[in-house]
Amino acid sequence: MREFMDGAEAIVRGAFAAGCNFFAGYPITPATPILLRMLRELPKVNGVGIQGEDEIASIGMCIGAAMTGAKVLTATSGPGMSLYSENIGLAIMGEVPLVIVDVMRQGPATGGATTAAQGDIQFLRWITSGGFPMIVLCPSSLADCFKLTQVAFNLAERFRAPVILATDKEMVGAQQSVDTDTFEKIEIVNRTLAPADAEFVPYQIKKLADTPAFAPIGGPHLTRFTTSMHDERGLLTKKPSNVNKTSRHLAQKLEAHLAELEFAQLDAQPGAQTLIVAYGVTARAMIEAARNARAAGKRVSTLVVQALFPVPEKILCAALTGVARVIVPELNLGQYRLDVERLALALDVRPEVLGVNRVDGELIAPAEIEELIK
Amino acid sequence: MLHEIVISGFGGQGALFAGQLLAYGALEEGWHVTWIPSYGPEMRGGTANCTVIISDEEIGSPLTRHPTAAIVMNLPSYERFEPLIAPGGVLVVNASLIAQKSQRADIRIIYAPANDIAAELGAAQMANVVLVGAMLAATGALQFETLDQVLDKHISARHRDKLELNKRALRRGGALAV
Repeated sequence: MREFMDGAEAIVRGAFAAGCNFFAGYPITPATPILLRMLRELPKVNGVGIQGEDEIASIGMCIGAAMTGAKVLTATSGPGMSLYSENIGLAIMGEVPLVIVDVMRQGPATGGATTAAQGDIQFLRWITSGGFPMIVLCPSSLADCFKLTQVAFNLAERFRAPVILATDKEMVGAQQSVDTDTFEKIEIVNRTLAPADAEFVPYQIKKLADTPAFAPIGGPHLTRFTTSMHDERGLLTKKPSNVNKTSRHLAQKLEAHLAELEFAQLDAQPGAQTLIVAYGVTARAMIEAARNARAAGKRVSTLVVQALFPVPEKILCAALTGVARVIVPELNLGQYRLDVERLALALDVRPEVLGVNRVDGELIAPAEIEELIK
Repeated sequence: MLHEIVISGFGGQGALFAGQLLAYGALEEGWHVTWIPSYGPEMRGGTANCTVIISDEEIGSPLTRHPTAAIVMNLPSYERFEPLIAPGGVLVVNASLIAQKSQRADIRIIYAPANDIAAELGAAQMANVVLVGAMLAATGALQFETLDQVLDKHISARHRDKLELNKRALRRGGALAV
């Protein structure tokens, strides 16, 4: 069906397709449209939507709800992510499934409330104290907003971890005509539950890379949940072997499964010497630039990165191999380019890596990218 | 078929709503369309503009550097967009608030005293609709009848009593560009 909608609507529909039944958040431009729609729609499916008294309370409610078994979404923008940061650490430590939408606007601080930007991405990657990997997905179309929101829920459930959907003011606020038949509904994954009739140890795992089974607070089992370093019973510990095990587990449960976390779309043109790598709203300018360049007889490949972190290294390295130059357009001073350069350095034949960067509040125009395609 | 239209003014003049009218009209006629707003943090008095792209092909970037048509509702918008319009394009100037005359010979310029016309019709806030009418007549981007349908569907309950007035405002604007 042909409809006219914005990214907020596509994200909300994706959340419902994934089985979301709880939302708490605090209004902030440009994330408010997601809050408003969740508050409107959740009661219709017997879900709970709450406007918290502030961001810290809101994400606290989200974590509590998730630990009772709810499938939880929240949405904010850069200043809200700063306030969420401490509790995201708690969600990592407690292994809480949670989806967080960051509708990026220009920073730092209150920055440009109504201005699109992509300046948060490395912040999102390292958003917790202590330094643990985060899953950060990034949609660049309405169909992606719908699909990647479901993927975010699946990964949150699969790995019992907070997952961030990084988007921006233009992606969420611009309205577009779209054929909603192209919206892909994916198979929904839910967290593995601990059997009700067996002994339950809250964080018990066989291998470091395993994700522990879940028992909801208020369910048949006594469960424990702490912000502090704990052993597999959920009891506070300083014993080096226990601390080591928990620390390495929190990283390895993601890092041992990178193949499940690589999402990117390569449009390779045979013989192309130029590759463009982009994400979010900037990927749209890239696609148009490539279309124009190809129409003018130039060869160029494009890669839309849909999972920014962990960096999809296999896909990126394959795409980087054999090209002479890589263009990385982004609405920041070159944050993802850092990772592209890191990967390019490891190749036998190193491509030149060029950035197209804007931090003036304007979007990158296709022509700015096209100029660099040889 | 490609129209890249900018509508720009002060917050409160209805630039964003005018763009939505066009977007819904384009959808009604079966085109691909994007509507992208740009505004300051203020509710009223700040700058507000939107870009509407109407195309028979899938739209990549939702923004344009050189619009094929622009409606400028106040002086800052005139100064910003007048030089940017693509050669052969259309500039609709709200002459009620802008005294400037463009020196460009490579675009079509329509001076529409939109606030005066809207006030004469009985609702000053319809100036945006008058300007949309002038732009549509000059570009042929959409049919007037389509916009009538869009107004029927999308005008808010609060302004329902002004539905017919809006349709008249659209045509009064259109008459300026014939």
